[in-house]
Amino acid sequence: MARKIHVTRPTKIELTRLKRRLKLASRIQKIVKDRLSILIMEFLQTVRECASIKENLLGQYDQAFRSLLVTEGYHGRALVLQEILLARMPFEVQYLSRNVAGVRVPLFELQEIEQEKLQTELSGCSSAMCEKTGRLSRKCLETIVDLSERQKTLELLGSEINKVKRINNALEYVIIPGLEETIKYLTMKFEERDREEADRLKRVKLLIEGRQAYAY
Amino acid sequence: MPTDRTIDSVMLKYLGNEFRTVNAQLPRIRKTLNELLKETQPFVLLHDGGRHFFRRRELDYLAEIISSDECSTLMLPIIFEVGSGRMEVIVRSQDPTQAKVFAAILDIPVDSKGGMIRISRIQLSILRKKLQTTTLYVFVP
Repeated sequence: MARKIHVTRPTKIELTRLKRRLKLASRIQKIVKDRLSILIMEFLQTVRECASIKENLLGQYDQAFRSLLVTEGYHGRALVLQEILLARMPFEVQYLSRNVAGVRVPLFELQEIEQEKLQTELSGCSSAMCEKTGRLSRKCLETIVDLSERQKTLELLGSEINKVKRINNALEYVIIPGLEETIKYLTMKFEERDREEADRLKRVKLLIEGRQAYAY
Repeated sequence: MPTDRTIDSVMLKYLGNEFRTVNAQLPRIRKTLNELLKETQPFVLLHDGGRHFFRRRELDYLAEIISSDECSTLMLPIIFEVGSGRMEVIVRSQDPTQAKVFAAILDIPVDSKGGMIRISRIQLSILRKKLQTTTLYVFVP
């Protein structure tokens, strides 16, 4: 049951104001609904992307781990550990932002570090196995950055969808019905007032007619 | 070169009255692809004071699709107009380059009628998948 909005003065101006508010609320609700549908579309798309990236990452992990085991077996654990300790991040991650239907979501851009590029590949070891392991682990790292961006986007979009849903529900079930109810109440009140006025006029007319008849 | 430094007429329409708040994520000015390609961190300023950054990969992809002349006319971000009750979104532009970009991505002929390109919601998701940072939404009642 929709609640009536309290009207301090039941005047025609108030009624016009309420009608204007109702029109605006309906327009805003339409926009909110559109925004919600777009946000849900973006959310689902991000979910699909996340799933495919995760699958991809698992494959890459598998390859990198196998390669690491082979390298370890060939060169020995000590050398591989030494190379891992020497290795640096092959790129810098820039934290930027982009906008998705009014939601600010992160955008991670990878920037190569030119002078340190050589150090990223297991530098002391020049065998093809070491290089391959380095290349595969770098790929994994890139995918992890990509995945983290999507995961954060997913989280932000999810919370925004909740917010927009709440706004939409408030408009749909509280504000708009409340305004409609108040408009209905005011309209009925004015109609009643008009009827009373017409009735009063009739009575006055009859009274005047009666007096005039008596006078003759 | 359409590098107008004022709000362009397309966006001016979206910023009237109460829609200014709803569409606060719109860019203050749009930039051409050429301009963005020259920047180290390509971005546009938004009405809410934030920055919208472009992915370099996407810009390069767009530059591959269109010719170098068209790079100086393509205004970014491309704005998708989402209207209530419509099953399609509209892209308003007098420039045929956007239609060319969409045609290349969707792999179907896309034509611009009366400065409007109509895109269905299914096609929209394909476009958004490819052009995540180079497109933005605007909501109209």
